[in-house]
Amino acid sequence: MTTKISRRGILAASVAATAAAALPRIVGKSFAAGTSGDPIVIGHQCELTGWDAATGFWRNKAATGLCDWLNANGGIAGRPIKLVTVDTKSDVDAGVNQLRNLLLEEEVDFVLGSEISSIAIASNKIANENKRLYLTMSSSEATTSKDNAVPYQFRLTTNSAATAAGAARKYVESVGSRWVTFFADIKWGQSERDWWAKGVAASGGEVGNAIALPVDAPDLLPFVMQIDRNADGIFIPVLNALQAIQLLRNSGYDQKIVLAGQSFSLFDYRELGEFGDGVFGIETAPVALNDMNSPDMANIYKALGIDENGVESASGKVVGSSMLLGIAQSLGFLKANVEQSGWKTKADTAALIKHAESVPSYSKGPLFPLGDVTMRAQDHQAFMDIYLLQMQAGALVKYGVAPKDITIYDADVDLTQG
Amino acid sequence: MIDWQTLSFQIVNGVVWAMFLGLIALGLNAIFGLLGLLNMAHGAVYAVGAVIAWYTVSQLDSFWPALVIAPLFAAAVSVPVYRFILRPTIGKDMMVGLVATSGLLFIISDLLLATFGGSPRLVPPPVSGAVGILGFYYPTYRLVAAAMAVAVLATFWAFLRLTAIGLWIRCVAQSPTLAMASGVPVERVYLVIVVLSAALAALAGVLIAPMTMVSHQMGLAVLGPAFIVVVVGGLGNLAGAVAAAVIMGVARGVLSVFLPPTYAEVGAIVMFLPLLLIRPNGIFGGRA
Repeated sequence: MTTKISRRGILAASVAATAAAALPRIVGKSFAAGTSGDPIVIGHQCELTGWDAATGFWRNKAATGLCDWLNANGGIAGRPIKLVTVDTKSDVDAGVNQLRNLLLEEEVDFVLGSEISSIAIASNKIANENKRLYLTMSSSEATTSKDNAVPYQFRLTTNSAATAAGAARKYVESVGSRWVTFFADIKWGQSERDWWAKGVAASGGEVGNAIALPVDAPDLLPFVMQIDRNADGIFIPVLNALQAIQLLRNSGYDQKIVLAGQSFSLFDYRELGEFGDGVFGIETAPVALNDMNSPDMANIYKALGIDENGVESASGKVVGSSMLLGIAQSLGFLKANVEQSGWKTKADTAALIKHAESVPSYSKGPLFPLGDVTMRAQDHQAFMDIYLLQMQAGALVKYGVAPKDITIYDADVDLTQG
Repeated sequence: MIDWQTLSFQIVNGVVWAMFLGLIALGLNAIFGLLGLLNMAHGAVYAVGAVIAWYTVSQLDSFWPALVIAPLFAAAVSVPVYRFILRPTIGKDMMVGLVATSGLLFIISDLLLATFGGSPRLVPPPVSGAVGILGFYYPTYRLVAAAMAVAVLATFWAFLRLTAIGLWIRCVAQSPTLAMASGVPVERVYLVIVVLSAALAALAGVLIAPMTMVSHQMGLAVLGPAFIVVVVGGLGNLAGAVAAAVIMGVARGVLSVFLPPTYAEVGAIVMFLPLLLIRPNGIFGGRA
């Protein structure tokens, strides 16, 4: 007997197999352990593709893994969580369109926002108009200051002002007082440049010159050559830090290099090889577990398939630990405030915000794994310890910690006044 | 007060970089000149070349084999791409080709994202050291790579001028109908130019890889300048594209001595506007 295999048959079998494979996952999400009622829908405006896909990879992984973990551990206020992730393509237009999709089509309750400052600045006002809470992941201080500060936005990660305030003193002390800034000519880079200059000046140092870099310049050499060779240190808030460091070292610049906040999430530090030796960074979380002393972070690493050295087992990639922490703390903020304010529907979000403004800090725990986090009600900005990292002998290790109290800068708005 | 050393550096670097831009624009221009296609996927092929350079260095611990592997790979893949994607668009509205090659660009970029990942990578320069020129030191590898690019450009020019296929290519560029009536195998000419164009883009990617950061998106950044030099040089005009690349590279560098770099980028493009008014058919006019 022969069996005739048609293309239609193969197609039907493939569809059935795919559906069968997907079923346990769908069922598992619908009946998450210990949860009941309608799901709380969290939208995630994430950079899955485009130039910022490297950091988006870790935010997506963290959001997916931590929402699964929450569902397996009682959800939020006993309700399951449904995560809807959209791809901004690292592009402002696409990012804003996808946010509208989340708000209007998916009708999400809360949004984990974009990491790209231009997308975040364009998005937070739209979320505000739609009275949906937007937890920005952008680290540009400008995202939460002056006209960009809106009531429906909170930031549970650090920003350029806080990292400069926390790190500049330490680096001026250990590197020297004369600095040069080599910055990406975009909102984030300009914000880093300005706050670093303030931080260095406040520490008794001086930023001699600041060299702007067009964001998509394929060749950095003409700009690298303008850097003052007499400077003690070079502060680098650029997207192509890998190339900048290689060119600096190849061009004979042996100054100490400090990468701007969360830059080590943009690339795998091992790629730097010998060029990276001695390079400093400013992050909200170290990479290796033995630099953290945090069983909660160890649990997160384990849940996400990351080993104790910060390497994901499946892909071999080094974790963007600051990205994980930003997502974890954002979810921790949501869980705490939904449960404490009695939030039930979108209509309760204004009350949730009022409640959140009355909560001065969040204690160390599963979703705040590296320590207590202070929340400033005036501009909805969180403050946490900042980790100063350094590449030593091929590894990225903890060099020091700037306690959260010294990262606090003056707020220029007061959202609590209505 | 003009800093002559910086100015000299910017001119030398502008000329060097222009050789690579010329190499990229060459294929883009050739495909437009013959097939009438604005090939948006050209930048993605350049990115593939750079990615192959990274894999070659990480797997074989040597950069040089990539100079052969990447062009061969791109050339081999370009054959089915021509047969199934580019060929059906020939002779149709330009938008059809634009949409088809844009789709190809996204497919290649996302394939690179899926395989190579979103994190950028570094390819160390295979030739270290610097050479003293006009009072400044210039990386030796850049000069070596620029010399190789010039050699390839010259070889391509000789290929067009001195071989039978080159003659056929020039015939088809002038008039496909007349060429076909004269017995020129137009289909084969199209295929040859697509294969060569892909190989050149991949080669440019390999040569540039040690000077920049290798990422799945790097093809997009180069596409804009490449199109500009193709338009200014004259659509279909190969020598014009190379000349426009040199003008653009030098202008960008020189202007950045006097202006902030972002304004220098804008200035270099604005500088081309009067050129487009005076020479609307390209720097050397008409088609090659």
